[in-house]
Amino acid sequence: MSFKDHPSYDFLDSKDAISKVVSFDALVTDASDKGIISDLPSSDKETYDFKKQRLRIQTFASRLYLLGYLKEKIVFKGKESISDEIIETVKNAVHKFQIEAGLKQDNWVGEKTWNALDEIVSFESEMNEDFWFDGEEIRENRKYALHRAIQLRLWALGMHDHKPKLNFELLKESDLESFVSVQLVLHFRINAHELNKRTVSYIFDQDFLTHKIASRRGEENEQSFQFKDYDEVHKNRARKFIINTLKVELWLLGFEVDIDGAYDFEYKRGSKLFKALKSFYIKFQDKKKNRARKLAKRIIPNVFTEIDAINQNQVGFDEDDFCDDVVEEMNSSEKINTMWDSIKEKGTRLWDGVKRFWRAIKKIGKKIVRFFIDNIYKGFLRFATRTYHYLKNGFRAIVNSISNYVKGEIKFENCTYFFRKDMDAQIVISNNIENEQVNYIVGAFQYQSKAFNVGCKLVSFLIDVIKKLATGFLGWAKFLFSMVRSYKDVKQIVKDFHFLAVNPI
Amino acid sequence: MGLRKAIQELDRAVDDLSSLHVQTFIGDISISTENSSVVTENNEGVEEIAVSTSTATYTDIESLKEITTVKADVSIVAETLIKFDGDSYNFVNKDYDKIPTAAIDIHREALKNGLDTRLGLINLFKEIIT
Repeated sequence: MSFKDHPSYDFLDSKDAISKVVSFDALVTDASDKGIISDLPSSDKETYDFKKQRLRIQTFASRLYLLGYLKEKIVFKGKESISDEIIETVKNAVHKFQIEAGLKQDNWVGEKTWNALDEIVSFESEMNEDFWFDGEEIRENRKYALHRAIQLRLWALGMHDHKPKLNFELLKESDLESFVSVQLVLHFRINAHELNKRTVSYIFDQDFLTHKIASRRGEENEQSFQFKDYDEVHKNRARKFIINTLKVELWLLGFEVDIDGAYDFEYKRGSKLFKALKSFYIKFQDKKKNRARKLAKRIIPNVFTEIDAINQNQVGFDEDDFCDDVVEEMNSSEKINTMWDSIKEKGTRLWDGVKRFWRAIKKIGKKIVRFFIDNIYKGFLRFATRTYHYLKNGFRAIVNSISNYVKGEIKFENCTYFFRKDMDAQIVISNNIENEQVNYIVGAFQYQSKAFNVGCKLVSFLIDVIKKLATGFLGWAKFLFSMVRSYKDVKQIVKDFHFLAVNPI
Repeated sequence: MGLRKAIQELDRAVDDLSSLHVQTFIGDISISTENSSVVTENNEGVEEIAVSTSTATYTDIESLKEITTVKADVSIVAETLIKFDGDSYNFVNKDYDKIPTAAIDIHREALKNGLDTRLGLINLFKEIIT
């Protein structure tokens, strides 16, 4: 499938309103069928439709591999389809994750399974504490999944020797030994040594960890980390933690580094880390090349100070503002086509690092945008997907409402609501009706009409946006750009009817 | 049902959107089927069949409206007609204070639902055509 293929936009010329709406629906469905945009799958079957769900399959397969549910990483690059054998392997991995996370075992990577995976693997997502914890303790039925995630995070930050494996055993407190050392050497002052909510929240708080490193300059020399009061074991653990935290931060910002948990505090010139650091000094601190090369030779506290300043930026992540930046940047079909080719292979990285990058733009300025265009791509895809999700819900609301009318009646307990051909209504209420039932019926009426109104508003709004989006956009680029450009307004429409956003029909 | 089919069905089902007419009935009523008897068990676990003679039954709204003219305990609570040229007509049963507020609440919500739905449809097609 060529991304430059022209879908049919001829519905915009039609004067017949019904044809417009129906053709627009067909276009939206086509976008999903061709994998232009991947909303959360609506069934377990759709979950594994590679054509439609390629980006999501890549992502959750990568996450399952990192958590140890897959023995080997599955390579998707260059593939236009995957074998039944691979699908079966991935499905089994999903199934096992669902068991260990206490989720319904239906192999369907819908909202719950997707969110659960996202929360425990992504560096920027917040964990739903009620889901994972019962008070201070990790929920028994979710222990295995969360322990895998803890081990993965510890490994990524250089505080555990291995990623979780296929045959996983629950962690012991001894697995936190390195983390306890790091707390001591870097003066965390939190005394987190048990496998409970408190400890987990610190381990998963990337901003906190980076901040603590930034706060711990060498006592004698601000340009190096000096831990003279500690033995070699403790020092090495701290250094390993520092170097790997740096790799995570650079990776999140969009630099080409590998998160590998390795102890390469004395890295080589010419290594990925060296090049990333050099680039960091040039782009984020305006250093000249020679100076940047000298600074990049070793890890100094300064780089953490800079990253910490970006992360601690008092201006909270403003999604609408970021959306504007994305729209401004992705202002042509060519750019969107390039994005599409680039984004196809990204997998997990597609869904992480957006907040950090946005904070960096706010602190340093838009000059860094073009150097990290991948992050703009991530934002673009994020906003397009969300608008699409709301739009699909809008269509569903319209169809459900019309279905009720066409049926001719809605039955409640002790009440029946008849619809006549001209949409007039006759309601029949029994004397036995109770207050609770009345409240339910009133709520149902309100829901039905609100859902229908939101649906109509969304659909007509988006058709209007595409209609007005005249020159400069061709093919699927036009569709995607209209989704992104509409995001803020669509969000407002749905917010006005908040229930539709949290209770998809 | 997909959107195309839904809209086609709506097109077939809807005659006229130029006015809204809502009627609300209340009474000791139940929907009847072919066999309107009720099967229950007595204390000895024996099945009994009882046919209610005090409850008015109806199979559809037309038969219900006929019942309301003959059975005093089934009555119309409220009726509203709104024309889109601005005229409107409202009827409430004279024994208003004996009508449960639940019935009035439901009538009001049904009216609002009808108006909102019509407005939604009009907005949808108006925005698209212009």
